[in-house]
Amino acid sequence: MSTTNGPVAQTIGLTKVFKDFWGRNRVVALDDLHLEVRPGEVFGFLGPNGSGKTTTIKILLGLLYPTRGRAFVFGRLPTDVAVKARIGYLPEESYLYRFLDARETLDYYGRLFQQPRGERQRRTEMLLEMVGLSAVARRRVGQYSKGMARRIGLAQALINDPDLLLLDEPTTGMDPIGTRQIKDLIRELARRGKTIVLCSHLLADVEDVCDRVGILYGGKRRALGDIKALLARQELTQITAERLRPDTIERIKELVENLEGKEVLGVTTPTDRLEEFFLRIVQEARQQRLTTSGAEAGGPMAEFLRADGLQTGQQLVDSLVAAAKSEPGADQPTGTQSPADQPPDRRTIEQLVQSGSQTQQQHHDEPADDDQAGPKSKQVDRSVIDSLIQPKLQRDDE
Amino acid sequence: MSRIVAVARNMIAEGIRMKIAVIFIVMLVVIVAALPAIMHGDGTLRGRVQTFLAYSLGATAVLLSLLTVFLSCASVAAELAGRQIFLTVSKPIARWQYLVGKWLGIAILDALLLAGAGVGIYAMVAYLKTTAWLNEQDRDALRYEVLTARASVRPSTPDFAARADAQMERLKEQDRLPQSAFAPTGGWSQVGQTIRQRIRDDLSKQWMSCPPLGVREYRFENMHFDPNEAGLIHLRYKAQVSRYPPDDILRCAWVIGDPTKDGARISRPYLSERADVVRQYHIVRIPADAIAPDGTLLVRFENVDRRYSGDFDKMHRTSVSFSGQGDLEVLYEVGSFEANYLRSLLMILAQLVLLAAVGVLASSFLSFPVACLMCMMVYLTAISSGFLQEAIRELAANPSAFEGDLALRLAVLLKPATTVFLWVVPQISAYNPINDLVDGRLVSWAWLGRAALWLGAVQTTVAMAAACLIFRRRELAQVIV
Repeated sequence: MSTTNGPVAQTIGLTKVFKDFWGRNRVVALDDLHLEVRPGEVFGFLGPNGSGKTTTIKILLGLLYPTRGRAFVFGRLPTDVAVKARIGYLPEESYLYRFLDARETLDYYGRLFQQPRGERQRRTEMLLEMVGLSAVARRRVGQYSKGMARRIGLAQALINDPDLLLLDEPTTGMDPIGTRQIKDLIRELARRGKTIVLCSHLLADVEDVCDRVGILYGGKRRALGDIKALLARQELTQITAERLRPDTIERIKELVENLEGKEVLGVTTPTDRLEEFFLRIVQEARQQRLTTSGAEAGGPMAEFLRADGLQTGQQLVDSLVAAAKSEPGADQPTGTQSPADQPPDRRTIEQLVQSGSQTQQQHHDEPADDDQAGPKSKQVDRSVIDSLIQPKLQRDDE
Repeated sequence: MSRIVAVARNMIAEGIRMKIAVIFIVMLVVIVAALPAIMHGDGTLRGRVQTFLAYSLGATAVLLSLLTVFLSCASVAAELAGRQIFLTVSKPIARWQYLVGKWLGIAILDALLLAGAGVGIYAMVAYLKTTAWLNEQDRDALRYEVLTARASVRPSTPDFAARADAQMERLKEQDRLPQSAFAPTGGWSQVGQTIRQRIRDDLSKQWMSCPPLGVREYRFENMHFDPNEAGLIHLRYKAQVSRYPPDDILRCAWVIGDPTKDGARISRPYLSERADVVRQYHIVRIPADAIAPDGTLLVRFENVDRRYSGDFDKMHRTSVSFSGQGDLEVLYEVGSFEANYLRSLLMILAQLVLLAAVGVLASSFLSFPVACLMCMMVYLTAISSGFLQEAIRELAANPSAFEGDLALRLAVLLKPATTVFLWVVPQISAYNPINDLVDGRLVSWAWLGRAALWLGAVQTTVAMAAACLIFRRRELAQVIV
């Protein structure tokens, strides 16, 4: 979507010094920082507290002015108002108007983008649905929990379908479902060619979604590069297969020793990550229709944020697994489901598609549990689709 | 524009949903509803209505001013403290649009609340009008002296400055002036100027007084009055006496109108024999046809007691003077109370609009409490700017009079700074319509226009421009460590 071929965000020798009351230099927040965020990448911005991440973002937004050096966004100065039409920003805390409700909040920001009323309303409803706040949209934002405020903060950052999304600690205060949803969202937006800058202390999250990372310390850049290159352990090879018998494993060890003269370092059964486990438990609870007064699990991604046209492969899979996306027992009459939506077909596809072991293992353990597996889809199926369409992201999910 | 409107809407929502606006409305309702019950003025219906109008409108103006100060100071400062502004200005909205939006929101909120209060107060006046009056005179007084819009004309005077100059020249020729009256460079020295001013004041006082048993004629000019319309004009005066008459009752007469004038509509002048308490305002009501077609009205004051026709020995002898500000004037109806009331409200709105701009300016670079403090200071100075400027002029004209008083000597030292401050601070006091409205005097379109131009347009624009300049350069996420 970016119209420039150059970097989306760029800092050249960026230095920021905070002064004390008497105008004396006190804190060097950024020190000669050179950084480039390329179009379409997910850039992870890491560093301990006070390393200058947020300061960099605030300079890119024109909230702070550099002491020395320069910052550019889409090739223009951050103070250029027009540039901001293409930026979405989620600050480290959700700074919202406490007296507005969720819908009014989104409407207000939509107005600042001069969106026509119909479009504004459409996007507002979609985003509320997406972040799971439709049911509490009439409640004042001041009464929201931190996580709910975070969700509405995320929604406002997306109202203009931004080309550059600046996310400052997006998952703080979020429950694991929300966290997972944000990661899925980041992937989806990246797929559409959007550029995302993600500041986070949660290294696992960054590792999951980022293409490149920059690590700051004391306002200086300590590392920068492709995440896979940075993390790859070239000296090891991992084989993943369906469950094997012990004697088969012994034969593989022998084979490796005979052919390569090398030792097999370990054979283990992969475990569910806690995130996956948690998501499954919550989905089960939702299926039993337990009520909650808080945020509900997020709905489908807002249509205007989804890749249309580009993703024919995904649309195919979407239609095939649609049954898994709709909640069982919802008002949807079963008669409307096409034969292709029937659970057996979906399972077949998943088996074909799945390269990771977890989901598949689950099906082996609970083969008759189709209805149980259904609602899990909102979060998990997304990764299924991801792996089908973008094999390069596969390992992020493992 | 739509971005400005978005910010304005948000500001209005904030104003309405913050308890501060609710408190204002509650206080106003209490005042409007309770005032007539508590205050009776001088016991007449006219007094009641006047008191009610003055206090309720005054309270509305003050309460709305306070509300405006709080809201406008909170507007930017609180958003900076709460950092909501980070999100707003990272959207495609220019800083000036944000500030103008804030100001517009407050201005609209002010207009809404003022309109509500205005309707409430008017309804209460309409209700009071129907309550019992003391007598016909009382009812007429309310109708013709309060619930109306009257223009005021002062008597024409000769050019006292020229006469004073002539007299100074005479004194100079007669060598009766002290040497110190002359400046070394020619012309008058400070002393000479003072003498000249004294002569001028004396001439003016002489003109406005009538010797014992004497007669004095005053001419009122440029009275725009529709000759086809029947109506009443009011001669309003307050007499000072040199010797107090028995029971403080001054017996005199007014002869009004000039039948000898071309096209005069009266065959003989109107005569009003009076028995007035001295040093109080009195009103003589006469038909409007006493005004000549050329817009002049001749008024003759007779300092005689007509009960003793020609028998001067029986009469009390005192000279009578109307030399105070507004001690002698003619008032005539030129418009309706309703229109006058509306113009008064608009004038108050002009003040509020300016105050909102000052608040936004203050909060563009100060924290909420400091901005509030600054605004309150500006507001208090602005509403008393007339008095303060008078005081400063006095101090400038006569510095020697204040010698020995340390505080006043300090004031003299600080005079340049004070003068600059007063010059910068908007002169809201010059645009306070309430007294005139309550007195049934015209709050003219021209006056309202000047208020709208100076307060609402020029000074508001200057304040907002300064706010935008400051705010544009400001680092919104700045932290002082």
